[in-house]
Amino acid sequence: MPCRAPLLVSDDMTRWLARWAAARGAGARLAALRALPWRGLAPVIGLVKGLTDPVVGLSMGQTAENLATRFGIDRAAMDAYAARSHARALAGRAARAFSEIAPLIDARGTLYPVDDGVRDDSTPERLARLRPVFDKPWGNITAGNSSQVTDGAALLVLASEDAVRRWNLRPLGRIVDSQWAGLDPAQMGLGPVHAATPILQRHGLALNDLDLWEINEAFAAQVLGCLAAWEDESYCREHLGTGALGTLDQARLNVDGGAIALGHPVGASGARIVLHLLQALRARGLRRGMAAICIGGGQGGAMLVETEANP
Amino acid sequence: MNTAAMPHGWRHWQLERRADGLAWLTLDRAGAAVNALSAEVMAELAGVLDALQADPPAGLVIRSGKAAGFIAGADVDEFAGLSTPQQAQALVERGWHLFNRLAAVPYPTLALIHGHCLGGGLELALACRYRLAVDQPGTSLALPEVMLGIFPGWGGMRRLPAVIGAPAALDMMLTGRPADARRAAALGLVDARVPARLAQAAAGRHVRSRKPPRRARGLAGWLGRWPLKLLVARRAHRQIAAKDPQGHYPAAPAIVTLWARHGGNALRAPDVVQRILTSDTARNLLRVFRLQERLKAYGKPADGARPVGHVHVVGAGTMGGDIAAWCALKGIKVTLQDQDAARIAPAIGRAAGLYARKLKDPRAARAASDRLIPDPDGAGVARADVVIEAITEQAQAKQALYRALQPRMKPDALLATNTSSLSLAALRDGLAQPGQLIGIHFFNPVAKMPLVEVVQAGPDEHGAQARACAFVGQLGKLPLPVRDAPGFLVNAVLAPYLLEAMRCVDAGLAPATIDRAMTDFGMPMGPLELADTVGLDIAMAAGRQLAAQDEPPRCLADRIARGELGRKTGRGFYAWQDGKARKNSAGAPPAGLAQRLAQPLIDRARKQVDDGVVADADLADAGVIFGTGFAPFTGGPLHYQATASPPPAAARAAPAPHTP
Repeated sequence: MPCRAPLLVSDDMTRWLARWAAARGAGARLAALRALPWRGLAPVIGLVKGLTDPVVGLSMGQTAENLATRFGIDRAAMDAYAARSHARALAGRAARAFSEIAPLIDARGTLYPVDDGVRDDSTPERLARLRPVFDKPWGNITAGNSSQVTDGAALLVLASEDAVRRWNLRPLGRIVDSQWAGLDPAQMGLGPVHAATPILQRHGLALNDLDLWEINEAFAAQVLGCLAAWEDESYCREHLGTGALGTLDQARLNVDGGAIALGHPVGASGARIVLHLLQALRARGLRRGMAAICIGGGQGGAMLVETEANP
Repeated sequence: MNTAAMPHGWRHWQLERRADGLAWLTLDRAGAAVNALSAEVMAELAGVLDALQADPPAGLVIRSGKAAGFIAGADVDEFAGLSTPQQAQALVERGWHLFNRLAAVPYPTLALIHGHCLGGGLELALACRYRLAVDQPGTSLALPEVMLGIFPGWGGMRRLPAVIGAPAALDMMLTGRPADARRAAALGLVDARVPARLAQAAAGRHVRSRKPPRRARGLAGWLGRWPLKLLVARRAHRQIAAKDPQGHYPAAPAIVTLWARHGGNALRAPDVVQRILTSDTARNLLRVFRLQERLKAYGKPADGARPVGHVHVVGAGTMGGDIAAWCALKGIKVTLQDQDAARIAPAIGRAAGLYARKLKDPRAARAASDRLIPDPDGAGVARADVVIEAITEQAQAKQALYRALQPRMKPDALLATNTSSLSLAALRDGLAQPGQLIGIHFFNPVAKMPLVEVVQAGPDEHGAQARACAFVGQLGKLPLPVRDAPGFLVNAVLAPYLLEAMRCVDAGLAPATIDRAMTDFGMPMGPLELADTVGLDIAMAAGRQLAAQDEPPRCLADRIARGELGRKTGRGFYAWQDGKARKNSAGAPPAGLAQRLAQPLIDRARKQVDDGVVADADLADAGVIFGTGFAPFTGGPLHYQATASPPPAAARAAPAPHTP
């Protein structure tokens, strides 16, 4: 379902409303009315404001354009990645890989059995026809190779070992390690690299030692940027103080598609990918996985999980 | 705050004089859960006024010491004991003079109202200079006398129109409709609504505010004065006549007359007082009220019993879905199961509509929606206190479901079936814990029908029937304990009644004429419109089961053969459009038709009593009134049979018993 983020009034209008509220008497009100800022009537789209970095003044899409330029990721690669996200999500749905997603019923009694953002017609050819959204006309980030802004909620129960014993819970998995990281807001999309790498280092793991990866798909260029950064000797030296980590095998990355197809309910996506990572591991009889996400404003988060051997 | 106790020895009232000069008078009727204005309470109030007259306070605040509310009205038991005109006159005089005295005291007075404030309670509040309503969900102000076939004779008919204007006042007095705190403030019935946290402080300040008392102003005010008053009265009389052309409920026109011609003072029209207060209608409506109280008493939980917190409903069709929605409306967490989410979705949509209508506050409506959880996997079974089965009426499917449910249920949970046509004993047969299964039979539409039959088969080992009754009470419905028998009570009495109506169609009478005979008799809906509403296929199945040997009426069989199943197919005995039957104007019903139609219902009700399906005739009357809407002013079918004189041959269809 599309996201219904609020519309706001402009700063000019906010100031005028304050003046109006304070105006006492017909004269003051008339004067206030005369000063009504007509241009200020245009609403401010809350979502655009929320997805614009207040420090560097770039929208999230523009930060992804930065990564595309830096690592030479072209439009065709982005669109191919996006098409694959849809295809994997469709295949996952057919294989009942999304048992954790509950259908929704609205107040009119309409059932939404599945997410309607997953498209079976998102081929590279059709995606190639879309125009850039953030840096017109020369950019490469389009609505088709970006995550979908959607509403959504996710729920996980985080329990201590004591609670698991006391309530006889059957955990899906165990959090082995987690890490938050900060980086240049203009390249916030590389957050997963900065957050996951220290975990790999602490546990002496290589990228492909993990059975599965979930890297949240804010933008195709951003996920591909993360993979490129790990391959890039100079980037790893400069920012991570280590040599290149190598190539992450994409067969183990976002195996059931990601936010480009399934949507990115901001605030719930971290929980969603951790939950789905555990479900995907269990469905395949695998054990260890990493979930990582980029965060607007210049942060990244990552979590290393293991499935538990129980029903 | 400095207080001085007064050594008056009143049992029901506490008077507290505070250092700031205000007097706080609290009604806390001894030995009762709610406040009612009994003769003793009224006599003591007169004593309180005497005491205050000797030493007038700076202001008087009247409030209730009961958590449930302010005052529920006059004492119904005293009213029931009236037998002579003199007693009726004395009862009216008592309140009229006392409240006039309260209205005339030289110091300002204020009624601080929380919860129910009904009948005489509201008349007392109206006699105060000011009224404040505590803004909380239970606050409800009404003059419901008309529903008991009487009138607000203690000043309500005089003061309510003066305070809120004649049109709004007549609406309240003629319908008995309650006003919540928000509406009471909007009407001007109270000076303001006040949050509970500030109620005391607001009462103390407002009573000394010297503000003029509320009066209807502008158009609303003029409509209460000559000559516009005459127009308003005529219009009210016309509306009453349109709704009750047979004059079954004489209290409503009497209220308009007392207001318009006698200034709301019933004492100026002793003939009206006598005619209304000692009428059979009033007696019968009071009987219905007490039958309702009796059913409510079955719904009281046993001491120390925990209320139901979680209900699991299997079957999201019309009945199951609406039962689930109603449970969630009443604050219970509900899981609703069916084969897949698509079957549950329409029930969720209907529920959202119900909550929007019933709960004005959008937050409360959302909370109710949140309590109703679609549960296609049946995860709620293991946590529910009550599991209600409302699937298709097939014994084998039901039994298979029970066998799957019972091992997963909490050991002390109730398993209830909403079956209307299957034998409970047969359904119990072969279950591991047969005593866990009970019948809780709701009527369609669930949100409108007050009665629920609670069906017991065999010995009640674990008090299941009492617990089921308490659950029904928790839902705000009236439980009727019945024994397992085809059709229980309500459907059993309806079947021969509908059958007789269809025989009349076969005999050549127009459906509209037949229905008119019964609406004239006082039924909310005629038998053929009812059959259309229920569905002719369902009526046929019920008829087969309940009147086994007979051929079905030709008119019914023909319509079913043509696929005309009533309202749901758009055509049955009537053509249906937008949920309404299109009726041609009905001819005058032939004499004795209503009697002929009602007789099979009455006979069947008698038989159900004789067979022990219900415990006694009163319960049968209660069940038929609240389950079918059987004309309440008759006091119920068996009471009607016992009290009605034989219908005069030439008279109109079945006149109600009527004392001129």
